[in-house]
Amino acid sequence: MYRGACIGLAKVPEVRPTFEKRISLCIGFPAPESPDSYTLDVSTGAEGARTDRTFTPKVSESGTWLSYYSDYLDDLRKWVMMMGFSYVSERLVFVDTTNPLSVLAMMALPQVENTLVFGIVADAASTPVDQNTSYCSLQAIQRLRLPTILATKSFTGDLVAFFEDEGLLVKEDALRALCSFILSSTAPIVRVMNKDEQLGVRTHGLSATVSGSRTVFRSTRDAIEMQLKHRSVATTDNEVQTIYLIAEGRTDALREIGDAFEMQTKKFTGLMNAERFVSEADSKYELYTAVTIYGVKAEKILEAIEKGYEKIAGRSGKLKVEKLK
Amino acid sequence: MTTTFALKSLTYQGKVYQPATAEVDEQARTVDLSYVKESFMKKEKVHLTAVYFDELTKVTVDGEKVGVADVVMGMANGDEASGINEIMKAPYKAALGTLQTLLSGPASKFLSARAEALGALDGLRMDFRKTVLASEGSVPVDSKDPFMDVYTAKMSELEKPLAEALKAFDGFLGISPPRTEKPYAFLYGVCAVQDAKFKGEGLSDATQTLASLGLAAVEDERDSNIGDLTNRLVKLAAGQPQLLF
Repeated sequence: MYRGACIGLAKVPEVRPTFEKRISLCIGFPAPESPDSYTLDVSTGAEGARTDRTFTPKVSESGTWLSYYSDYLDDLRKWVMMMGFSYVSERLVFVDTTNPLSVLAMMALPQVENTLVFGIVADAASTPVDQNTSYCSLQAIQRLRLPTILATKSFTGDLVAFFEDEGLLVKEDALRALCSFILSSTAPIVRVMNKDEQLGVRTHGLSATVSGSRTVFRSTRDAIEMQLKHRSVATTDNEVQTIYLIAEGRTDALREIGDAFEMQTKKFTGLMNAERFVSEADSKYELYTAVTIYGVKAEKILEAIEKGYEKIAGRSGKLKVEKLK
Repeated sequence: MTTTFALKSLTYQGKVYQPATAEVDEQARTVDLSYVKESFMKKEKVHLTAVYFDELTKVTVDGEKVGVADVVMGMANGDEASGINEIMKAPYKAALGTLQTLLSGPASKFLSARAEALGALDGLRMDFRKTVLASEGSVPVDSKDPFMDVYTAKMSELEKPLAEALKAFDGFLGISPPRTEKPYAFLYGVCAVQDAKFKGEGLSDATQTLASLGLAAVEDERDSNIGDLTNRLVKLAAGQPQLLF
């Protein structure tokens, strides 16, 4: 009896580890703060290294996305998996697609559900090299068919936001704070992304009024009107396919925001869907936060930077999307 | 080597014979028992029976009387009773020595390796990322499930020491059926305690197999780690191998 049972003794109990609710992977992007999120960072260093937080490729002499992609794809793909990326229930990727590591990182991502990419993209004002890198990164993201929220370099460069506990923040700090708000609102964002997936919309822009108040904007209607004009990616009203409002504030503010949103969305003639997700939140200064996410065609964003991409791809003959396997 | 003992009496199947002799062949592990049949004309030595003794033979000593199987030998004195008892128990004592070596050798090696594997898997549970990085060699480049890669690798590392431990026990105890299942029960029982400790469960259920062998002192060691607990149980068993034979 025992002799037979001993044959199975090489087997040991399988006790799975528990993971955080969310994991964030940051590439050339200020890591947003979130208490229930584990943050990973990919950035270059004088020497190559790997820890349980960072993946550091050695700075390449050429500095192009292709050299990092060629040298580190297998290593980064393995590291991302070893960091439990696919085990966590919510995955967020914050990427500056003009960063030469971004193409490598996007190609190394596993194709798993509940992964949202928040990306900074080059625009017409960017250098051709940045446009080339950004273009290739976006192509890599599209291959994964992951939902994305994009913002141009110009949009993030002009970003200004007031935060109740932090005061006035600009540029990178404002972006980090905005992303922290996104991290804290993943539930409605995931719902938005799932809805749009059904409609075949995976690429999104956003506009945000963070910590708005009557002293900043004359009325909530003005705030929403202005917000819907100041979008993170350039599109015409007709090109917007879906639009969603995620807002938090006091009840009276939320009612006004909702009414204003409904009125403003009538201007978007190509809309397939419009919805709002609001939640009450206390504010000692009667502030509210409203983020609008709108679905757009990815081609429009790629078109804006295609010239720069072609210019570099044509000259080097190497920095082409076709290099991505 | 053969030793002859003159017996005061010999009881076999309830009948008493005297005088009698016991010729003990240590190498052949036999005791040839004879008695002297006296008739009017002559004395004749009659071979009565032979007793085979091995590792499992039970010998009882009661003063000058030595009992084995259905034979009771009345020895000349207590020293001779002890002497024949020593000879017949020698295979048993040698077996205990071998068992002790097997417990401290291959069995301990397997159980320690298993404790180490559980320690590594505990690390995987408590700090997954650092442990996986430390076990990177077990994770293929195109891994879809690094937890399972490391888990499977740790289990496969145990297969060889387990096979060696079982082979050593099989060689010593024989198979189908083995002379005793107790050493296997010991392996099984220690693994049950290891698993309970790993899962953070109480040890009372897990110690039942060991308790049935007479090895029960694990309850007060709840705070030790799996490796320490395993070493202590192996030492406990190796120190009293008679419990497992």
